[in-house]
Amino acid sequence: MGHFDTLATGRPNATIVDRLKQSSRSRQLVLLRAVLDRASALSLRITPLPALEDAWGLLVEAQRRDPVAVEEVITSPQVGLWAAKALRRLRNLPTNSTPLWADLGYLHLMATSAAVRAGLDFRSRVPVRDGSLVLPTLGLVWLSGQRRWDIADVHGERGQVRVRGSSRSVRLPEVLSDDSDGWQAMRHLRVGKDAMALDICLDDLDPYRGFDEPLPPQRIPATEVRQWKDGLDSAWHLLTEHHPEVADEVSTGLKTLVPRPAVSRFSAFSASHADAFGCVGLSLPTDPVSFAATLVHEFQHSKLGVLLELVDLVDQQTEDGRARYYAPWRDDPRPLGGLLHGIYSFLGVAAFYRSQRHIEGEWNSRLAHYEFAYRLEQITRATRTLVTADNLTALGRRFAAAVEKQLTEWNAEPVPADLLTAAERTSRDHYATWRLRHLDVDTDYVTELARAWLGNRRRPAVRPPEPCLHEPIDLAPGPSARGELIRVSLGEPELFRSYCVDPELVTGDIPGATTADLALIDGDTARAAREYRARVASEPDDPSPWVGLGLAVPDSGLLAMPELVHAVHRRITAMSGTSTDPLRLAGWLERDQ
Amino acid sequence: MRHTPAELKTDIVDLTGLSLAELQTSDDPALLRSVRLLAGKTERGRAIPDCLSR
Repeated sequence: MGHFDTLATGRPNATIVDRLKQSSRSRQLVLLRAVLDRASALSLRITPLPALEDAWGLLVEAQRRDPVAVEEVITSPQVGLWAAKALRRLRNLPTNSTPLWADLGYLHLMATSAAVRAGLDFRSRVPVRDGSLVLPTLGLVWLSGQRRWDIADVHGERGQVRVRGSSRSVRLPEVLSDDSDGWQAMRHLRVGKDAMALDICLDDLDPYRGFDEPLPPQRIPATEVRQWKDGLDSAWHLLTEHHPEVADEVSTGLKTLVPRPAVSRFSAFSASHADAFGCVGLSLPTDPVSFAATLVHEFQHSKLGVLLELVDLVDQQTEDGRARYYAPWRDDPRPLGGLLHGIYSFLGVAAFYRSQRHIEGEWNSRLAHYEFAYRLEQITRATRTLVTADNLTALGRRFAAAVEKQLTEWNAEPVPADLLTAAERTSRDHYATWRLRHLDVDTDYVTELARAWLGNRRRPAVRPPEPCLHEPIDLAPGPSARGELIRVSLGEPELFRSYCVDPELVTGDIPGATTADLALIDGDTARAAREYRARVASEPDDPSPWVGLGLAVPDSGLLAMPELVHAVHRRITAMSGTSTDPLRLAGWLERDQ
Repeated sequence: MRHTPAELKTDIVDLTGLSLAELQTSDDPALLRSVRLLAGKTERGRAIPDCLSR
């Protein structure tokens, strides 16, 4: 099997990651050359900074003196992100509100960082924002000026580096990894030992560590750094002990973690970007398993991101850019590329939990079984959509076929019945909720059905028109309380019990969770159905109780086409002035179909 | 500088071993083609960040 087909299985492989890393390096260098060429073609001046060629000259000099030191800078994921943004900016595409000279001045900061690392004698001029500047991969200089945008001069001589701003000057410490007056060193987390050691940057400083607008530095306190170190240490121990191929792959390619706030107590944040290979933004995971799974998830995105730069899996000529699909891990409809990314990412996560569920000891194997089954459900459904898409290239079809083959193998593996049922229910929950939020039903058809219902007639024998995506697309997150509650019930059963005893506790922890949701997850489907039915009557446009009712009464037919039941229910209410029983209506719609 | 001798054809040249000085001045057609294609793709492309996952 070649590298391409091996990569498509989603299984870890450090040799392939090393090739992807080299490709990413080449891509970053090509983008840097493209920035220089574009700026030169535009005869661009970035006053009050010197020309970009001067920065490049300093980089060249630094590389001659110490190629290894410069390599650290030019392969930084933030450099890739910056170069891509700079190119878009030079095409006059809107990117951010930073002045052009300061944005492009990042190349001067890169060159200065390289010169400092290489121990050159040099002079440079760099941009300053809100009184500080960041030397990529090294740290932040605090100059305390009042101006939003300013400049500083940097002078290195015989190993001493001084940065002179308009308000004060700062001398960099001899050991650059130490903080000192006016200097905040880039933090590193070092975990593991010998061949299985991991040394990565914990970046709370670089403006391009965020994936959208440049972010201001946000120094996290030492206690939090300790938490990150401990968390990574435990996750790394889990990976090296039980998932050595994943550890090997991650240590080959992961360079940077960017701390970000969590969405809520049970909803973590994680992100990656195609222009920043090896960089993961994430909130601090709550346990070693979810930390490891998050690294796997985002690293898969990084791998696919590079692959998609190397080859086309989706035909860009026929991709109209507007087609959107159901992606089971997202609340909003996604383009085909997004579907591909999610499939690949969760393929890696499923592989991780496939092993994790069989590890004995302190780990929660029931939760791991559930995660394996749930992720498998999601990617199997999404892959069915992917393989039928008509704008995959030949390589894209080959990739999808390899994924499909892998899924067929894994779907044949046993999972405890109750956990498989729970995973299928969560999957149905998300899909039905998505349909309710995003699909529109033909209004004439809905009216015809409502008239038939009110006239006590059979459902008209007309083939239902295909529902279409509602425009504009609702990008807001959908309800997720039941999915979170299932994880709590499996991962922290005592906490779940306390929620059942005192439901007020849950509303603070899991926004939107109701007593009906608790009853459903707890197996009291009769009570859940009763409460959901009451909520449908009082809040008929909230998708959550509709889907909850369909889950509590699974043979009702409500979840087959929830958007149709909801739309007809709404029309009946508008036409008659009275509400109708949603389960009877669902049965009528399904029975006479 | 060479095209990656891989199983797949790609627009990205392999720049292993090329110095930054050479990168700035090289007029190798393979590099220039790669710069043109990648710059175009990057400018057109909209990276797909993945944030919340259910």
